[in-house]
Amino acid sequence: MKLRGRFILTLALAALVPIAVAAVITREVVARGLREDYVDDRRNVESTVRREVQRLSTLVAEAVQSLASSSNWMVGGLLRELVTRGAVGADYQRVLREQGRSVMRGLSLDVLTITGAFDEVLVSPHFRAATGEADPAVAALSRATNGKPVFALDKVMNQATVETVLVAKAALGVRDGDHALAVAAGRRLGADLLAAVRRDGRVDARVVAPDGAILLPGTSQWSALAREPAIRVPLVDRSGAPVAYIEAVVSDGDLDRVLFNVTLASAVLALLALGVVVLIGFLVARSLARDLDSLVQGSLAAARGDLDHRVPVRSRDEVGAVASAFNFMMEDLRTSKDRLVIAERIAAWQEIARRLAHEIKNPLTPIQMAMDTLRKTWKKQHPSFEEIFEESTSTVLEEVDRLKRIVTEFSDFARMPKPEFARIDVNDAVTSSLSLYQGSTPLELRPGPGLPAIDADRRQLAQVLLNLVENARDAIAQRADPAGGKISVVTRVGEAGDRVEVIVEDNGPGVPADRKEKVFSPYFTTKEHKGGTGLGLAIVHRIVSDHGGRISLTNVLGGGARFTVELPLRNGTALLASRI
Amino acid sequence: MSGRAGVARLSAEAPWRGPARAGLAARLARKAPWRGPARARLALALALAAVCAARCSAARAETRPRYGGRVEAALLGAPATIDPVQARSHAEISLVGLLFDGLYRLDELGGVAPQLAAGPPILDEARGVVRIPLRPGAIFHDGSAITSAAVAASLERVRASEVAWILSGVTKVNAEGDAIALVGAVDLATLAQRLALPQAGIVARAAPRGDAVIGSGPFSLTSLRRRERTIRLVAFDDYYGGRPYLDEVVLRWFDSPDGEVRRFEVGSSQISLRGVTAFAGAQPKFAADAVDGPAAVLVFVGFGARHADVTGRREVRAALDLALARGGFSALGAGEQVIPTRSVVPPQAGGAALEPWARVGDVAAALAKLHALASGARPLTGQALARDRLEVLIDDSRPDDREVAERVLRALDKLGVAASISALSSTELRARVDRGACDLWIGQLAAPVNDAATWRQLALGMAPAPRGARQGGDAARRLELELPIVPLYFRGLRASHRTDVRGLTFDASGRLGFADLFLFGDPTTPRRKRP
Repeated sequence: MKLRGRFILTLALAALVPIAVAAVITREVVARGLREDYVDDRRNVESTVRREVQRLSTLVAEAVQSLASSSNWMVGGLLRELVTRGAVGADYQRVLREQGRSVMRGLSLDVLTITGAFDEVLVSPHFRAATGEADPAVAALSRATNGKPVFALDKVMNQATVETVLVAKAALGVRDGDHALAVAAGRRLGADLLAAVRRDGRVDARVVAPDGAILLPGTSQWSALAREPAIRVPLVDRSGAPVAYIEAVVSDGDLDRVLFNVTLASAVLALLALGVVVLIGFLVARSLARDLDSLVQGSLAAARGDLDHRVPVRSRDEVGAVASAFNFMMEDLRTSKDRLVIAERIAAWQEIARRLAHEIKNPLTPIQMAMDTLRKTWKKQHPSFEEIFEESTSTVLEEVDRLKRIVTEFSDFARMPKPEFARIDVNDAVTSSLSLYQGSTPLELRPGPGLPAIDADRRQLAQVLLNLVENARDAIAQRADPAGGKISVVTRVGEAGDRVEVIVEDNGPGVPADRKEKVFSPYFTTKEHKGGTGLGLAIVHRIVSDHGGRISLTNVLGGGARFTVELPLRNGTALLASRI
Repeated sequence: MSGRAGVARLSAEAPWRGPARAGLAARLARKAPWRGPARARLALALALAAVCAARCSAARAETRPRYGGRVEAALLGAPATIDPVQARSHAEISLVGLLFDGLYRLDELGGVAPQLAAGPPILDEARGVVRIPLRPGAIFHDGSAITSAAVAASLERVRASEVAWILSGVTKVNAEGDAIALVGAVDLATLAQRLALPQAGIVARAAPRGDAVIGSGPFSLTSLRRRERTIRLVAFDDYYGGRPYLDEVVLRWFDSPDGEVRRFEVGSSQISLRGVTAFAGAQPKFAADAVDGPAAVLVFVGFGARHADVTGRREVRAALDLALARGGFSALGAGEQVIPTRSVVPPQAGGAALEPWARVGDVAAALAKLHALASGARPLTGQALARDRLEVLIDDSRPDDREVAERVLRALDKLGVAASISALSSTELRARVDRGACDLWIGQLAAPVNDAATWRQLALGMAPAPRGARQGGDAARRLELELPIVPLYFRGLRASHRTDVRGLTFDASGRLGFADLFLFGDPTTPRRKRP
């Protein structure tokens, strides 16, 4: 990853971590607060339910207390009728029927039953069809509870159907002499009670039977709110057994919503912060990277040998100091290079002079010896002078020819022309150059597939190949079994894709390690006895260098040498760039 | 013509109407203040003298019936039909009785008297027919003569209807001059009584429909507006029995008892079947008296075929019959006579008295009947029955139907049968019942006879069955086997009327007699009660 990316990522992480920690802590604090509120809410809802149930029970108890009295106009009148007439006549029953409903409504009751002798229902406005029937339950309830409210399922006549309803009910007996009445009054546990408990979107309530059957359904929100266990308040009958339960659910939807909102807000803040940080990081990184890019460009230029390249110094900070140091280094390198070039040039000339002198010196000795021999034999008038003369002059002439050849080659090497670049197909060039070896040399040519064209001088490239193959031929000739020698020429695209490689490999004895550094030096040869001048590989090196490429030598495992020529695809492109 | 002269004329022209008119005269005489004890007569004379002294103009206190006036009265529900052959409920037979005369009529004592007939049926043994001479000069409301052909056609309608049993044994009705001839094996002993049923009323031409009704009764129909719940009748001037005293009778029905009571209390109507109870403690505008009619209207539960696998089974009907606590029906109504019953025959016609257990019902026995069927094709257990919510239809114009239905629902509830009440107009109810498109319905059956067989025949006619299938056979036995209806109670009517309305009577079927009704004096305010 580039420095710019690392920088932005690091900056983003540095910004995100504290935000995330802050968000988590905030969420936990809010959640804890809301959870406590929720528990309080549940407690409050339960107390509301119990309070409403108690209120309903109290109302019923008060209603039955007011009814079960001889001072009550309806019950009192009924008792007087009984005392006066001994029974309730049909006319008075009709009066009771008319009165019953208004009394029931006046006390906000939903159920009202008055039974007389033999438990005969005298008043039953909530279910007038029950009038005249026997209902011992009323008197039994009054005896069992004595006005204490209980809950029971009762039947009432709705508009058109018989409906079973849950009522809070209380019953009391009232007596006048021998005549007794039992009065039971009840209020329906209905939607008004549940409405007092409900809060829109927060609390819902319903009434269920012990077997789970729903007696009074909750609102449409029930299923949405009922994610936590419901609060259950039992409604007990006169035996203490639950006849139904009021179930209330309190939604923790607020908690989830608030937590979600907090999380969302944190996420949004984090994203905003991240965006700002990324933007700032990008700007800073761009500024830094621009300077570093300049340094990179400068380094590449230096690698290419462009020691005149300078990077701009835009700031006085550390990056600016680096840029200044770089420029200073380049300046120093420039100076050093100039010196080195001069020194190398001198050294090269010295080496060439030394080698040239050495090469020239070698023929001079035989010439000198031949001339001395001639002079001595001439002075002594050696009888074999003519023979010696012939031999000595022949030696002198050979050595002079040799001197002339050395001078000529040196001259050629020194005057080697600059390459004339053109787009060539390397495989084609290699194939045509090596065609003259077909049949005479164990040469294996393996052209690589999909080789791109390169900028090169076709003639000089052929020279390179010929020199390398000649060199390989000499190498395999040194094998103990020259017939087993083999030369392979391989072309391929370089690993980075920016070059073409030509590999010439033999299975000769290879190059000793101490000579590997010298094989490309002019006049270095191991084949003096064969007339080698030591310029073949130097010329190869020179041509490859002039093409912007490079040549390397490695020994092959198991014997043999491998020369790898790397040539850029385009003229002027440095191979170094691809390695960076 | 004065009322008294009219009575005398009618008595002379129609001797068989004598008892009725004589009864009216007797009642009038009884009500006449000058017929009281001596002290009362003296007090009355003093009072009259004081009034005369105070008001020297002509005395306004009539002492005899006068013609004219308008009376508004309540019906016991809306009539679903004005076709005599379809009349069943009290309102229907009341209306039919005013619009259509039959060959015979039943008087308030239950005796048979000729109406359009000129005399009793005569068996012509030589020809094997029964001849009934017709009253000469009688005309329909449209002025056309009531000929023997018209009467024969009207009776043929009866023969083709669901009440064909009225002419049981008759194979053809022929017109023979001024008489009709009934061909076939006719039971002469009961023929006149059967022909006195309102269902045998003589109609002109086509079947009555809407306002286009042409009858022969003392009143003719001027309008029947169901939306306004009003029927207007006017006196038929050319009525062969003498023009009614009233010029107009307005019959109303109400969708709530309060509506009727309020109208009566404020003086808008003169005759109410609910009395005065709407405004607790309030004094009605005018003083009122009450007249009670006989308990001659049977209220029953009928059964339809919508859930025929339930309501079509006799055991289910029997279970309902057992489960009903009929004692509670005694408290229904506004003080009129109510007699809970399990019989379709009224007590005065020999109907069985209610068993003591039937006052509270026998739910255990009813459930046992249902459970005995549990192994049948369709179990009739509570759960199975609760699945199908039965519908109990009531007539929304009959004030007590809802409470009756509630008691039926309570009985069904004890059996575990879910049910609901649906209130319909009388015509909708009749249409649903006729189609069989109902489960249960509350019906009324009224007949001006004290004949058990006739009541049973009428009861059998309440069940949907192929036409003509009700004729002949032992009606009592078939009733027992089919139990087509479950009787609930017989009820009478108590008519509260303003004191200026006189001559109000009920006939044997509990129908109010408007023909002899007249207005007498001014309406009076009620006497204040002592605190």
